[in-house]
Amino acid sequence: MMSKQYIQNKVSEAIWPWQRPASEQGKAQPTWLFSLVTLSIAWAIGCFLFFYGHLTIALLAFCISTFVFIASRFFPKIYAAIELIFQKFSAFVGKILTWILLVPFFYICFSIGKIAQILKRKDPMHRTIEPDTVSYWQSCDKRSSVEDYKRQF
Amino acid sequence: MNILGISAYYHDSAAVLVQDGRIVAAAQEERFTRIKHDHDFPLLAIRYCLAEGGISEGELDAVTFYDKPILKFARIMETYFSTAPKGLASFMKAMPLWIKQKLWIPYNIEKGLARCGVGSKQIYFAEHHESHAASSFYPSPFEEAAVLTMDGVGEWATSTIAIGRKNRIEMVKELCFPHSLGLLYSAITYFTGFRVNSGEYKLMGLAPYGSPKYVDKIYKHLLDLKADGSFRLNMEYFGYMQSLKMTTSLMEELFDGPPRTPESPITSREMDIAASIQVVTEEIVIRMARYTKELTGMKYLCLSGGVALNCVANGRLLRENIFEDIYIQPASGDAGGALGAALLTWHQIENQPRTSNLKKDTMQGSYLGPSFPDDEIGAFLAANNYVATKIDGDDWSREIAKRMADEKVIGLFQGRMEFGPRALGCRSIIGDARSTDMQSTMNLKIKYRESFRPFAPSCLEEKAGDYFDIDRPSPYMLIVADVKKERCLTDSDGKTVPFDEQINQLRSDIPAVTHVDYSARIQTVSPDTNKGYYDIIKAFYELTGYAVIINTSFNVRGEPIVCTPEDAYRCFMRTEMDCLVLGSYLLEKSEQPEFDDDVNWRDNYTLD
Ligand SMILES: [Fe+2]
Repeated sequence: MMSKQYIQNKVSEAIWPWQRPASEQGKAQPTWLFSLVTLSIAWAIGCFLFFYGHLTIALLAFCISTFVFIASRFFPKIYAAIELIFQKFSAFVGKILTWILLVPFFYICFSIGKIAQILKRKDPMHRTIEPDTVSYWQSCDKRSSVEDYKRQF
Repeated sequence: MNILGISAYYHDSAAVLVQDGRIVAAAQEERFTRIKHDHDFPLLAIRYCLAEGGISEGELDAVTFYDKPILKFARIMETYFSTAPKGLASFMKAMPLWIKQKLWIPYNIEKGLARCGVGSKQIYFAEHHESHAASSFYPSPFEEAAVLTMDGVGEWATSTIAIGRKNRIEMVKELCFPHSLGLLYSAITYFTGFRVNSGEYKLMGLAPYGSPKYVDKIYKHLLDLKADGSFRLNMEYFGYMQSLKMTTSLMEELFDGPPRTPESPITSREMDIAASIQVVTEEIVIRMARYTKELTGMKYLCLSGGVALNCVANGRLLRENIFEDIYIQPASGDAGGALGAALLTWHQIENQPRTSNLKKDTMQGSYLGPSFPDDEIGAFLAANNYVATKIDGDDWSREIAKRMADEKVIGLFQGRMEFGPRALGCRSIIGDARSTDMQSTMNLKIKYRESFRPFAPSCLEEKAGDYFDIDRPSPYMLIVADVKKERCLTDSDGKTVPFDEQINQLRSDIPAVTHVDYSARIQTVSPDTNKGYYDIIKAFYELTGYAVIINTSFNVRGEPIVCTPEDAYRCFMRTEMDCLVLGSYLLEKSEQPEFDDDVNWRDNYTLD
């Protein structure tokens, strides 16, 4: 028997989708358009590879993209698993790339900066204890014009 | 004029809607996503605020972000310049987030608003501590006041002194990173095995069990404290500038051993460290407050920033009588920054006037989140075949009070959700404060948390003086005061008995809310802001002669406070609560159908 749908107010509707089945409350299924566009791109790449004689890879592209397309439309759980694998893989690749790029940046950039600080005898962190100083409070030089509030700095 | 304030990307992201200067809606993102201290863009909180304010396309005038991201980024870069070649691990953790999110805040705001179906005419950025200052001064009942903000760190500032006059706030003095009272407290929180940014409350609760034997060592080695409350930390003991650890190995020498492993047994050493850092924190706060008074000459003080949630220090500050009165923002953490940012836009940027009456603040009891109508709750219960009885009129409070008097533990869900870290009677678990084993029961069977943690009392505002040494309302549970001496059963010599025995010691005629040092973190309840809750305590008083009950937040350890009736029902069924109140509906655990639940639900919550 179908129970009557309760009409929620705007606030409730915005934050508490209790009438939607739990399975629908998670990530939405991709739209037909998204699935078709993804399939078309993969097939286009496949055709390109086929045209230039890479038959095995082209076949692989056709098969995988068709499988993902079918999963996205008819087997949401399998599609979710594929998506998760892709996400984890891309996160892994992202992490590797981040390390490759950022580690040299860190050592080159900050070490030079540190040397410059040492040479200038400057410590923006004011880490030295000054027993003879009466107060560590600093005056605020804050400006508060409308233009200042539009800036991120 | 509709102004949206946003705080995000550090911890406790939140959104607040201010309409023509009035706070219309405020909520933390964690309540909707069910991720404790969620720091992501507060999309759902924004969606809620817009719905509550009835805002549609073209009606949002301004969005204000609670800090200046580029200034913060510059500070982080300067920190790495200062610590290189150390700091790689911290850099690698921080940078991807900056590159992906934090450097593109205007874009993220526009994208987020677009997903909510609106756009904004203007985006502003306030300074972090200015947002904190605004969050306490503008809603306060004072026409003019000094404002003291203390937290971990914003852009550069870690503590500030400001002056609030009518609709203007002028920032006067500041202490800067890395010298931070909030980070000092967090470092000790880390060292004692609690989680930074959420375990600070536990450290404060643990302090009365110990003796402050490390105070001298802290003053000698960890910081140079001046008479005016300003200080510099000895950074050789702190690791937060250059590593993912808050402290260095030197701290181990100072505190007789390595940091406590999280979840391992708590020893007297941790209790003594907690007691010591509490003494030091209070001393710094008092000195800062005295200097603030001297500098500004103001009669009143407004407090905010994470350190202002240290209600023991707040209680001490009150007793010192440095100021005639103090106002503390209930959402003093970074979530409150969203509120400050929105109010700052209305008063300071738009130059709109502000009224104050010296009596009431404009926080509306901090009940600024969503509420759900009875008919919707009824429909939800019916749709799920949950067994409930609808009770109307005075019987509602009487039935709840009767169950409490029978030592039943009740989940109370009514009215608008609270903004800020405390549950104030709308999303609370309540019980009889006279019960001798209620503290253990609630800690171990309901909240699944450490047994030493104290519970707070909610008391009828007009009766607070009968139970506690307090002479003013404390509606936000931000002040600790002593239980009246005549109610206490033994002298406080309990420190010689073992820890477990101290916890279960009978200390007063309201033992469940009397902490080991005979103090209590009080919430006074007034019918003006929460009539339903007031009625329940009143009915309990009429039944038992006691105008005090236990109030703790409606959640289990590691879970955000419940937001919707569905969250409340789930939490009710997962714990050993006896009854649940959902609006006008009363549910008994024994009558509920079997609950189909994820058996490993506790794995969903990271322990705090
Ligand atoms: Fe803050």
